[in-house]
This record gives sequence, C-alpha cells and structure tokens, in this order.
Amino acid sequence: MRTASRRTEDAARTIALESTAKGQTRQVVVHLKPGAKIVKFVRATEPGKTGFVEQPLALTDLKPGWVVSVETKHEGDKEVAELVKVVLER
Amino acid sequence: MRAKLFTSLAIGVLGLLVGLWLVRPPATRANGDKHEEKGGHAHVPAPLEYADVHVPLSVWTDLAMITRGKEIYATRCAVCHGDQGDGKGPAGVALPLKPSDFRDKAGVAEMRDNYWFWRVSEGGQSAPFTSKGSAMPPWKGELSVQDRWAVMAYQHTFSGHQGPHVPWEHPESVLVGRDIYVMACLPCHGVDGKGDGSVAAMLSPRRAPQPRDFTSAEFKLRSTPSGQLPTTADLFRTVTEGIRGPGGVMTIGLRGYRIMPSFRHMPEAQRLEVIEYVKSLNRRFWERGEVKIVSVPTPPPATPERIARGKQLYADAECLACHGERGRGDGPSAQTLRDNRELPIAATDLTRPERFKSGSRPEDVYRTLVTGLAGTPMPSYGDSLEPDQTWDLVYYVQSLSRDGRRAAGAAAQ
Repeated sequence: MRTASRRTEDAARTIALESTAKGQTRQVVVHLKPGAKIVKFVRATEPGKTGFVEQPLALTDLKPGWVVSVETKHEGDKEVAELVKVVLER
Repeated sequence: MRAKLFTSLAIGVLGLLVGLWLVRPPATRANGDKHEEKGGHAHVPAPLEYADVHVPLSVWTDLAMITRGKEIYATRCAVCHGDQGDGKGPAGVALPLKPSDFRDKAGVAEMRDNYWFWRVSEGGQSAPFTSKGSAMPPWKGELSVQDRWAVMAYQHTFSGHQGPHVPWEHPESVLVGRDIYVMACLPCHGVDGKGDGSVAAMLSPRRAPQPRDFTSAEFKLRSTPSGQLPTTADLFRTVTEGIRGPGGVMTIGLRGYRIMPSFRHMPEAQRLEVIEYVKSLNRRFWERGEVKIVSVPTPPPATPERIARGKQLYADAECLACHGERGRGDGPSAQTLRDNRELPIAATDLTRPERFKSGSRPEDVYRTLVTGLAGTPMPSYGDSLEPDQTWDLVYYVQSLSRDGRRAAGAAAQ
C-alpha cells in the first residue's frame, strides 16, 4: 500500500494516511503494533560499504506529506501495521 | 461414409483454426488489444504539453551530463530504482507499481524521450499512473530541465544502448504509430512519408495541394513562426480536423471538400501514436531545440473603421494580386501561382471561409497571416504587419464572405 502521511498521533500510535490504490483515494488510519518499526533508507556511511541501510525513526519523526509504504492487516475493525517504510521525504 | 466426411471436415476446420491462430498478428495497442506493459508501466503517448520536449541528441552521450545525472540519480532515484537501475531499490520493492527497471533493454527501447521526460517531470500524478498507485514523485519543481535530461541520460546507460535514445535507433518506440500509419496514411503519404503514396497522384493530378512530404522542412499548417516545423498540437489538429479542399473541379466527389479526411473518430491515443511515428520520419523534430509558438492576442472588436483599414492593407500588402479584388481567388497573378514542387496552386477563395485550410475563426486567420503557408506562395506577414494591423486585415478578409459581412453589419449596429 502506497500512502502519503497526513498526521501522526504518538499517544495512540496511529498514522492517518491518504492511500491511493486501484484508482481510488481513501483516508485510512493505521494502528502501529507494539514494537512496529518505522524506517527510512539512507546511504551507508561505513567505509567500503555502498548502497542503502535502514535508519529507524520515531513516530514523531514522520512528517505530513511524506510518502510511505505500509502493509496492513485487518484486526477487528482496525488496520494494523508492523513496518512503515519511508519512500520519499518532502 | 457420412461420419468419415464429417470427421475429415472437422479435422480440416480445426487445422485451419490452429493455422490462423499461429499466424495471427502480434497484439498491439493499435489493434485495440491490451498492450504488453513493462512491469505495469504503460508507455502511453506523452500529453501535448510534453510531446515537443525532445531531448537534444548530444545529451545521451555527453559524459559531463551523464556524470551530473549519476549524482542526481544516487540521491533522488536510487532509493527506489536501485543503484544498479534494476528497479529494486530498498524503498521500491514494496510499491504496488514497481519502479522501472532501466536494465530492461526492450522496455527502455519502447519508451520515447518525451514520455520519459514527462514521467520524470510529473511523476505518477497523472493518468494512467495515478490509478496504478505509482509513487513516482514529480521532479519538475526540484530539478531543472537540464538536470532532468542529465538523469535520463544516466538512466539510459543502464540499458546498455550506445548512442542517442531516438526513434530511428529504437523503431519499437513508434511501432504502434507505424501500424496505424500503414493502415490510414500510407496510401497518400507513401511508405517513407514523402507524400508519394499510390493514391497521391490521383487526388489532384499535376496540381497542388499534394500530400505532405513529412521528411521535408515545410509544413503548411502551423502555429510556429515562418520556416519552423509544426508543433505536435498542430499535427494533432490537422489529423483531427482533416484539411479542407480549395473547392472547384478537383474536389468534386470528396465528401465535405476535404482533401485530407478527418480522423476525429480515431481514439486520441492512436492519433498521438501516429503523429509520433510521423515525427520519427524527420530528424529535424529532434534538432530544432526550443519550440516557439506564434501568440495570438485576444481579438479586438470588429468595427467598420478596422475593416476599412484592413481593406487598404489588403491592397498595400498585395493580397489582391492573388486573391483578387473581391477575394475570390481570381487576382491577376492567380493563374501563375506555383508551389515549391512547381505545381500550379489555386489562391484561396476568401469568400468561402469554410474552405480555409487552417480554420476560419478570426484567431485562425490571424495565425495564418503571421505564419504564412510554407511551400506555397502565401507569405508570412509576421515581420511586416503589427498585431493591430493584422487584426484589421483579418476582419477585412472575414468581411469578404456573406456571413462575415452579416457579422460586420451586426457589429456596426
């Protein structure tokens, strides 16, 4: 699921997202599971290493407008996620 | 006996069907079948606002540009498209529409440069990509045109292709347009687009107009200054509207007096595809650089004074030498007019605006006066008339027709 972040609520551990899929845009609130990770990809700084490495982020680091990729599951009436990947910061 | 006959017949029919299936033409976008998409990427024609943005040929092989593109790619693109250009960057793997794999030679070859530039500029924010869930960001706000060219040149290196990324290096990029051209245009415009199709000679024997030679630098119907190639939008308008004939004996029997039919019924995407093929026949479209368009100011009100000034200009600019005093195309020089192929050509009858090839609205007539009609004796007045004078002449030309006189009379009251 590709989404643009709208707002985050640290206390409730939720992210409000605008999701675009199959030609439709919908607003969705994703609940983060305990221990869920939010990561972005940065260039490796260690000498001799190339490519990207994951950098963990706090929920409060996520800014409205960023494009993130989240896979969610339905648990009851909630959409929950364990991993949020930042695709683009803007 | 009867059963044997039936079995033989059934086997024969089955064999025929299998044979037909084996020799079926490949599915293409032109014949309406779902086209093959590269990882979900539909290489659709670029919209008109991007269709004329062709990357200069030197960019693709310019080492400085490629190096500049590599730097941009590493910081902006690699996270999704991957350092190796394989579309497997860490942020791209989970996306619903996979980032393009630039190592896919066939996929890259199918992309036209204007499509590529459009995608880099606008990202996935336009149809059909938005509905596919494209996460591609638009870069036009952050990267200059040069930077976008540079990053494309670097991405192009992943495909392994040496040389510029142009249709004559990648004929597959205009394959759909070629198929349409063969069906719809070839009889008049010929195999090589030189206007020498088998039907061409029968359209108006030994007289102009003849089908356009797409390989030449002269295109009549344009919104660009004199001596320039047309825009893609100009070609699209011509394909859509067709071309009205000048009337008279040679167009008898041609429906609606069109010497080129209107292809309005053809889906817009197919019209754009065939235009991309037509452009690929003429390298000048890639060599011309920035495309300038003649701006048509807002038409001022038509007044009797303006028409009177236009009448004087009509005489001073020697319009009457060809078009005649009453605009009927019967001026003293009319019989001697020839086009650039040395074929006799008629001066347009200005009392019949429905036959104006470039349209009869005031804006259309203004544009024709400024651009001229390349390859014909009709010159460009872009340098010799001020915009206000051009409008005077436009309204006088319009007043020569019955409807024009009526409109001018109504305006005067």
